[in-house]
Amino acid sequence: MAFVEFRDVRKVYHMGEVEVAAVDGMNFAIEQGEFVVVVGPSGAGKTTVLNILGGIDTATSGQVFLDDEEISAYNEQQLTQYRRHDIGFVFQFYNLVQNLTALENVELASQICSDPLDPAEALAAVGLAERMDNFPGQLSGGEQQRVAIARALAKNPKLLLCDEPTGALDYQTGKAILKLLQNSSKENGRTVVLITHNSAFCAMADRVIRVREGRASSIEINEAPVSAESIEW
Amino acid sequence: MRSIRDSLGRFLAIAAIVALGCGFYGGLRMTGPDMRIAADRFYDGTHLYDIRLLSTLGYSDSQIGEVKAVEGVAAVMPSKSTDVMGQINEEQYAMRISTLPIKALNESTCEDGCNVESSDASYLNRLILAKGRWPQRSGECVISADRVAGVPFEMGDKLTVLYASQDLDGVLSTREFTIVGTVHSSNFVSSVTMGATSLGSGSIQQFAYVSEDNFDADCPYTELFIEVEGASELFSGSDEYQAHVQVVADRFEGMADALALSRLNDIKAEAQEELDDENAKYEEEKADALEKLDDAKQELDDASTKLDDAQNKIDSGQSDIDSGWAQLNSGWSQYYTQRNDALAKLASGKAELEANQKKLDEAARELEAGRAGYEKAKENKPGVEEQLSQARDGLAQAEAGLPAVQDGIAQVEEGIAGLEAQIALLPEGDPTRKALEQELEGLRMKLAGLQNQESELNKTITELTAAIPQLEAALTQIEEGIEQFEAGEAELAAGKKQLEAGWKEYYAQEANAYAQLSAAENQLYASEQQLIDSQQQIRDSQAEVNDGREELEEGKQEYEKERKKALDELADAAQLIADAQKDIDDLEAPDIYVLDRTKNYGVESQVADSERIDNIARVFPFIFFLVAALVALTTMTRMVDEDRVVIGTYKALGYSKARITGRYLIYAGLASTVGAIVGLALLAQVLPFTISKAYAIIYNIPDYPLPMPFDWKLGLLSGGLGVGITLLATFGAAVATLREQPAQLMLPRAPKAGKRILLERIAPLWKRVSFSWKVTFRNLFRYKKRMFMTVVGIAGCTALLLTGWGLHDSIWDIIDKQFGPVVNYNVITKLDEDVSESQIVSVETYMRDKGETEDITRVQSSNMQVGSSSHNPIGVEVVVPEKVNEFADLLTMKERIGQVPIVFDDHSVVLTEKLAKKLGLSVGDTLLLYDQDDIGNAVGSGYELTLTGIMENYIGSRAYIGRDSYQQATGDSCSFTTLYGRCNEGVDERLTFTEGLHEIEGVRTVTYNDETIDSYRTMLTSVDMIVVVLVVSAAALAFIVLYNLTNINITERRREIASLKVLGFTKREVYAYIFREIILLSILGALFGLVLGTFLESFVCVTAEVDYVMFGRDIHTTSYVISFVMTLVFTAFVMLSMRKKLTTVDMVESLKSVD
Repeated sequence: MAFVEFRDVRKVYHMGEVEVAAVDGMNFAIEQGEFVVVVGPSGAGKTTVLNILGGIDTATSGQVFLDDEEISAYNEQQLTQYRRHDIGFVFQFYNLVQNLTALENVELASQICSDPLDPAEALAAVGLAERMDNFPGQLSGGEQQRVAIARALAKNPKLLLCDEPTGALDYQTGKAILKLLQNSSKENGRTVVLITHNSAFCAMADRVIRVREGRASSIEINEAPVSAESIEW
Repeated sequence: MRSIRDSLGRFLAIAAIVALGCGFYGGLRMTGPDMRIAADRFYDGTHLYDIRLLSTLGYSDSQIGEVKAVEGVAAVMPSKSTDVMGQINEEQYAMRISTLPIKALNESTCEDGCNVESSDASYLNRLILAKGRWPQRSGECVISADRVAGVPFEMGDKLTVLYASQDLDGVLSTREFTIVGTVHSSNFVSSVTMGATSLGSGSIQQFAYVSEDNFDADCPYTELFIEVEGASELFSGSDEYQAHVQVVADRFEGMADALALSRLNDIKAEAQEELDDENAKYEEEKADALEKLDDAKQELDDASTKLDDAQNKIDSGQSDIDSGWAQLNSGWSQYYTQRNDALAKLASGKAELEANQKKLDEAARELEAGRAGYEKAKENKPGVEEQLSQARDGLAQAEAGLPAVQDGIAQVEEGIAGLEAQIALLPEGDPTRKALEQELEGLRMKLAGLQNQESELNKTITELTAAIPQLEAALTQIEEGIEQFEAGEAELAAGKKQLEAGWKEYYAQEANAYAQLSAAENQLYASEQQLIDSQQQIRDSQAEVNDGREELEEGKQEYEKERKKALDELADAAQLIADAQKDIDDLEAPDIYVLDRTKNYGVESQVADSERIDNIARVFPFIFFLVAALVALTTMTRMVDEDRVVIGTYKALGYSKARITGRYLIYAGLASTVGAIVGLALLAQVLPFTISKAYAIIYNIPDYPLPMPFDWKLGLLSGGLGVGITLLATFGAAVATLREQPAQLMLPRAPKAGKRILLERIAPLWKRVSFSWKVTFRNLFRYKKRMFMTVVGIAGCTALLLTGWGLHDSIWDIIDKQFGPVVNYNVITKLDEDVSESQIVSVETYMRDKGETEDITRVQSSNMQVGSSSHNPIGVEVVVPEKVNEFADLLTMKERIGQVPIVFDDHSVVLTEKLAKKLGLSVGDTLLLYDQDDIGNAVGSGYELTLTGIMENYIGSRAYIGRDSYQQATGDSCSFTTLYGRCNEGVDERLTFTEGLHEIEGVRTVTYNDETIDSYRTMLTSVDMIVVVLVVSAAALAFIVLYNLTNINITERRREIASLKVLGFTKREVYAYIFREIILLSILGALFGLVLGTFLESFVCVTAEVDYVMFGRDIHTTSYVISFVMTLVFTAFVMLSMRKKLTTVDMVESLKSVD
């Protein structure tokens, strides 16, 4: 069995009397250590997939597996533990705690999991060794996103999930962030799932999952992913 | 509308805090007026008097008529009343017994417990029957149904009148009443103290209404109760009412002098009439007495005359006797002469005779001398003759006998010769020879005898032949002597005979003479006896006369005495009459007091109590308004913040600021108006109702029928304040945001930058703090407005709690701090003022023995008044201890602050703390001590004393004065007839103890502190209700503030919470992360609240205090702890209820975008 597997996953929202299926029979599998890009237009259900995979949302039906565990069968408590130990999240809007310094934000995450990385090293790894004691408000968007990545990586998760991490960033900074993510996958063998509407990112992925109307319309294995620096959009 | 629905929590928060603020303010503000409204309704319903006219000499019908005629008087009810000490079931009360029209009483009806209907318009102070029935005959009474403490009683129990300060004779004719019912009286609305009196502890504790025939018919009406026309339509106690009543009161004041004069004249006329009667009686009796005296005098004079007459008679009798004696004496001398003559004659006769006698006697004697010889001769003659014959006979005989004897001798001599022959024949030793020898012997002896006889006979013949001639001569001599003597004898006998005849004659003469003399003597004796008898008679008469004189003298003395006595008595009587006349002439007009309801203790203290609540209400709810403002400010700021994009859009679209602001103002206005209406509707009912209910323990004013009256003015004021504050806060919040440019507004507001806080500078400390705590600390200082709101709100909550519990402490401290720390005695025994030393000692002994104590001390306890230069006199109990050292064991005097002991000696003057404060006195100041009259007014200009100490004291107003100071100031001596004792007795034995004490003569009252404590406990329970109100409102405040804070916190930090959740924080970690901040703020607020509460409590204490008690000034540590803990419990409760809201924060939604 693959590292990550989606089997006929459906997510149905009730908008009044209308049922809307955000995810409608999603099937895919991801191998350990892969850098995966999930791409699709807005509303295709890719964020929902990510949320279900990250344990912050649950599937209406179908099965989700991670490392031989059936996530979809978890109760809320198990999901919390799952998020705590197995998942790292990076969001478009960073979601840092404004009242904690960069280091503290990382520590916030690392203190609660079983096998964390050293927060300072994690920050140094994302190139913020000098800005450790700054508050998020004192950092630029890219720096904040790096803190967010450092926070996610410091937990030493099985899976790093990134939802449009460059969405609020300028081109150069976005590239740097992508590079950071790619490196963390390549160098540490971490499984990274990145969601974007930007097809340009597909070039740097080991596996590209195209999503359309709640389904995986195609899954491609990219034998020769390029470096993040070389992609353009 | 949509915005309301969308943010119901926010809307409710504003509404609730405004409801609480307005409701609390309005409700508290309306409580006082509502209590007064209920009182007014009661007073109107029971026709409580508007004016009470009191006269020191009472009223007669004519004055009552005058009073009735006064303009504005609707009704007049005359009443007789007197203050007495009464006893019901072993408990003594100072009580007022008054009359009411019994007929009206029995015919009155009361349907609703407040309005009493009666056809008798002049039936005032109408009673509401609580239990039992109305009195119907003399000797029945109804008493208060509302007394708080005391021994329970039942219908049919007896009320015994013990004594009064005045003489009850001529006032109260019944002394024992049967309790037939209990009543509520508007005249005595305070069931704790019903007014002042000179008896007992100085306040009326019970009342009794009886029919008029229980009072003496001669006892005048002592007071007139007056209903003023139109006064009942006005609000009792209001300025309009006072002014209205004052008009009539002024009329009475104006006519008081005339009224007093008229009463005086009535009394004078009545008294004069009586005196005139007395005077006439006196004159009559005087004449009577004088006449009697004259009669007696006459009698004495008569007696005197009679005595004089008798004396005269005696005197003449005496002279008769005296002449009689002279005659008698001459008689006697004559008699003696005669007697001497006669006796001389007799004597000579007698002497002759005696001489003859003598001769004769001589002769007789001679004869007698011969007589012995004669007699002897006579006697010897026969003897001699005999001897002669015998001698002749003897001679013959002897001569005859001699031959025979001579024959006999011859014969015997033959026999001897024969035998001698024979013997000679016979051998010697032969037996027959022997017998013959013997026989021979016999014959030899016989021969000797016969020979003897023969010699004898021869001798006799010789003798006799010589004697016979001698004997014949002697015989002849004897016969001659005899003859001679017998002749002398005959001669003597003849002489004797002659002498006897002479004697006989003499004796006859003598007898004759004596007879004559004796007759004469007898006659003289008879005369003498007669004289003696007469003399005796005279003496007796004299004695009689003397006795008579003595008697007369006594009679005279007695007469004088009686006369003096009678005259004295008459003089006394005359003096009495004169005095009485003077008294009448000097009679002063009575004092007439015009007293309105403000002089009624119950009415006035009820007003004072309700005004106390007004005072609290003015200050107290500021916390709520402050919090309301803060809640509105933070809530609306948050709302505006949330809407910034919309505002930006509107602004960009060209909407005016006013238009945009209006939206929020409308929202806030709506919320606060709803809150104000709901709050007022609820709390303006609940608060007045609850607090009135609490005061119902003290005041027997019937509950106002729900709904409680609503004061629109106050309602609008309070609502306006609430809404206004909210709008102001909203406006402030909106304006701040509106200043920003639309472009900026369109952007999400930059999250407030994190900041380092002071704490971080202390690196060693900061390092130890976990991230969540770091966030917490930073957050606290990040949102200052919110922090301020929370701290103030929670502080308010804690302050309310502390005020509540502190008030509770203060109230119960009154008892705990008074009894033990200050007052160490537990029994007060009051004795009659004129009790003897031995009686006091026996009471002391009893207390000592039965109470097992040595701690007994005597004091003088009197009701007086104390004033100062700046304050009118106040009624107090003045205590003068006999021995200060004993007293110190039973009463601890110390200053409250610092607990410094106060030295109390015979020169000290110490006031209780509250009294001194009220009078504005401090140590060293001069105070004025006044006597007090029966009505409770200060008398005279007061005695000056210097205050030497102010002591901690919680119940009652007392002045402790050293005996020297007291006596110097007043000039009165003390009578130490009150005993304080600390007795060791259980509650069960108290009754026996009391009974034992009452059996000792002179014991008036026995009071236990426990009873006082009980009655205070009951009374103070009412104030505990306020504690409940405070606790409930504190809880409400805490909920609103914390709910609001949490609500804002959660909504504002949804993303943060969602982030944490995504990071894998467990529920509990998330709660802790968010709530830690609230807990910290709560603790901070609670700490502030403790400080604030300390001040607030002391304000409420001072405001809520009643006159005769001082609340404890300390809040107990436990109260601080309880208030603190309760605040945290409220916090915990809010957090528990907010957990769900945290749980429902949706990670997916929150993370999607920046809101």
